[in-house]
Amino acid sequence: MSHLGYGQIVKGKVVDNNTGEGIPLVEVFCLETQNGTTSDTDGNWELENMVNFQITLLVKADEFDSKLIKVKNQESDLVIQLEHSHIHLDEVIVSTSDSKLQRYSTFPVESRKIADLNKIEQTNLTDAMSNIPGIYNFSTGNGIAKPVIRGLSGMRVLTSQNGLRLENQQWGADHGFAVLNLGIDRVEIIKGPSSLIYGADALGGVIYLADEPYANYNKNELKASTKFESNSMATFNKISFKKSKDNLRFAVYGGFFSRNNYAIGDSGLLNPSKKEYVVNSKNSGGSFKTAIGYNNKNWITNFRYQLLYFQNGLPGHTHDANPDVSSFLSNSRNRSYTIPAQKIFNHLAQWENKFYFKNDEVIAQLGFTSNELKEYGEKVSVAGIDMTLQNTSYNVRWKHNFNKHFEIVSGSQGMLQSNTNGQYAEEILVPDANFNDLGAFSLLKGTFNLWNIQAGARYDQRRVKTKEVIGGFDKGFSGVNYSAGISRSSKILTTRINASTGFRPPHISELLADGVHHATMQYLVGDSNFESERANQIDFYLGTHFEHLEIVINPFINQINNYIYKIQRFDNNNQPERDDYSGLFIFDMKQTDAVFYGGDIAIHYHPHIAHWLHLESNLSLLSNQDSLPFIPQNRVNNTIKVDFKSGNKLKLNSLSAQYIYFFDQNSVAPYEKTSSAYQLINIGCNGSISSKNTIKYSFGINNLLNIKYIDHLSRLKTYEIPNPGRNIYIKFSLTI
Amino acid sequence: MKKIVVFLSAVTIISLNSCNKCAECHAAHEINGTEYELMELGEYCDDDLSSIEASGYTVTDTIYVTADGDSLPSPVYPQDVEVHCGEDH
Repeated sequence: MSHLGYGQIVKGKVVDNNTGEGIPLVEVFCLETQNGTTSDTDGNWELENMVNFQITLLVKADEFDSKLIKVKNQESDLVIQLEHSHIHLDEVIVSTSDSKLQRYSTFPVESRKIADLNKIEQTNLTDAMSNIPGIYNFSTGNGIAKPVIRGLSGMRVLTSQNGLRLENQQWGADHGFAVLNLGIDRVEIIKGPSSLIYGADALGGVIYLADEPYANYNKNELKASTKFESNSMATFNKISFKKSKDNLRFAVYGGFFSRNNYAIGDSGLLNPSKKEYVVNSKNSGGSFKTAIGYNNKNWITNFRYQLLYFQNGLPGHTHDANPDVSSFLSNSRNRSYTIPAQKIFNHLAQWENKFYFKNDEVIAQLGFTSNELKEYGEKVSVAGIDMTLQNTSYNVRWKHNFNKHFEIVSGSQGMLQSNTNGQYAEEILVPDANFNDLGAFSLLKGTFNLWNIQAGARYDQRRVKTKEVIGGFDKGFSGVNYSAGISRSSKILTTRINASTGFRPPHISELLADGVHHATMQYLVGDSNFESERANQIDFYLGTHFEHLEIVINPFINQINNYIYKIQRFDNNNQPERDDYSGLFIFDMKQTDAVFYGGDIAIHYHPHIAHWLHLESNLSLLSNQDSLPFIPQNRVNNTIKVDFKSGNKLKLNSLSAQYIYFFDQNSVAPYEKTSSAYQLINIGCNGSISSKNTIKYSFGINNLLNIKYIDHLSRLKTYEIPNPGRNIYIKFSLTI
Repeated sequence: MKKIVVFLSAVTIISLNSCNKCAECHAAHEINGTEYELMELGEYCDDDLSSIEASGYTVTDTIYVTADGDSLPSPVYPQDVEVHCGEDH
């Protein structure tokens, strides 16, 4: 027992499986308390004041395979053996109701460290996530980005931050991912329907963002970083402080960024023309975030709060009747606030309690989010759209271990959501409304040697009710969902098959929209008779893991009934119809059945004769025969990474080069243009400067050849506005 | 400590200053579906900004050219026209 009388001391040694020698600098991390320690030069480690129940330790070291071990309270002096591996197979996963290494999961889920996705720095979090096979970025310039999972995005993708469901009017094509890369350690992406665990709306998948861990036991950590990007003359600055003392942990983060209008590429490599900037693509924002955690013998509590502010210019806006691309470009730029623009204030608060018993675990989370979105379209002084979306949610989960083979997880989630328009807003696109969600699930899991199985079912209901007293809208939607999967993971081979369903009741914007959305320059018309979207996915995974080679094949098919999409309205003369008052084109919401199919193939080769060399390649394929808009281009993403080991004061740790080829996209909606193939080359290096406190640096160039291209998932493609051109970045970070 | 106070004061002053809502405004008029910038009206702030955006601008003399000196497709005769502020060019 510790000197405080709480918990216990867990200690042990990490050794090399082949030689039996201790391994230094191994990270030993407790998933429950979210802090850990590092082994000494002989491989010894000690975690004091751990809780008095079975804990889960994640053990990670360079050049070794990670291990996740369950430690019972009476165990100490553990000897943990790690096996050599030149390829880091996987990260830990917590988004699928328990903690597992990725290869043992029966769900189609991928977990990546944000730092690993940013080996070559990307300008925003969604761009970084787009390095994962099957994940894309639906963008409006470089400030507004929405993650796309296997062709689905917006309201079909649920975002969860440490279990807190984030809501930010994601129905709007220009309402981006309301997350800033501040204090986020890892992203887990569930590819495909996930309503069993996450309920309504998790139709296309889930983005689960896991915060950075607290400081190691009884340690302080101060970290600051700054990054500059040449393309939009952007600056990103962050600072964080973490402290861990006995059974109390604390972290605070602050950050802000500012981007000017971005420069487009120029295909004339040898004879470059004058730089052109996309008008009003500037954006800025900031965030304050804090977390405090405490534990005693069988209880862990965490409270988290985050304030986010974004100010996004909305490019692609003109008053010209027949605009061409020159209407949206300029040879000069400035950072002053201009309209049309969005101003977004988000508050995220979460209180989490975990209770542990001999064979049971109960997790209860209470959450509150507030998203205040103002869009200034025509006037600086009056918001065109002014909406506040408040969401109060709970999440309770109970896990019971029957024996070493079987466990059951049951849970319930509920949500009270309210959308309110500001009294001075010029446009009411989505009426004042309340949404009530309630759902419950049960999931049985089994583990037998190399086999993992799971099967579960869930029932959900949602009530959508407008706040008008007379002539309002009041309708209930319900869904029954299931998920079943089986996986077998040996040392060299992992196979998995998973079937899952999802459902999404139509959003109020799809049911009742009848007005101007100035930011997207569209007049939207909904349909109050829409039914819920329902998805059925079958996902197969085959992965081989040799010492120097990893090959993954992951095909899927996702059938969606009642898929809601937008289509432009044409009159009898086949001319696009405009709204009489605003003059904007009219878009109607429609429903159809759709099938998405495709898959990922990934190879990671690490030649035995050159352990410093990593070759990674992945192919993302997606097809849809239903003439739907914004279906991602197929993509090949190749990376070559060279590791360096030098004892110099100025160290170069790695050098990476990336070649991405996007195939042309000819499968388009009737009103949508096809997209041409394009290719990008990115390079980057990472290193450190040894001093009393290590300074890390990264330097690189995105779009090295300054290619002028238009991505198929760019919302600005309608106006033929290209994506960003060459971008040189440099970043420094200091940890004390 | 003194440096921190000075730094925080500077940040506060800059932050408060940035709360002033100011924007460059121009009178605009639509001819054949295209909007033309008739004349620069200068910078307006706070209540003045709200006021001019709400009330618009009254053209008192016939205008034949845009603010950039380009010819208009047709003259704009004395009338009330829209005022647009804070646009990027």
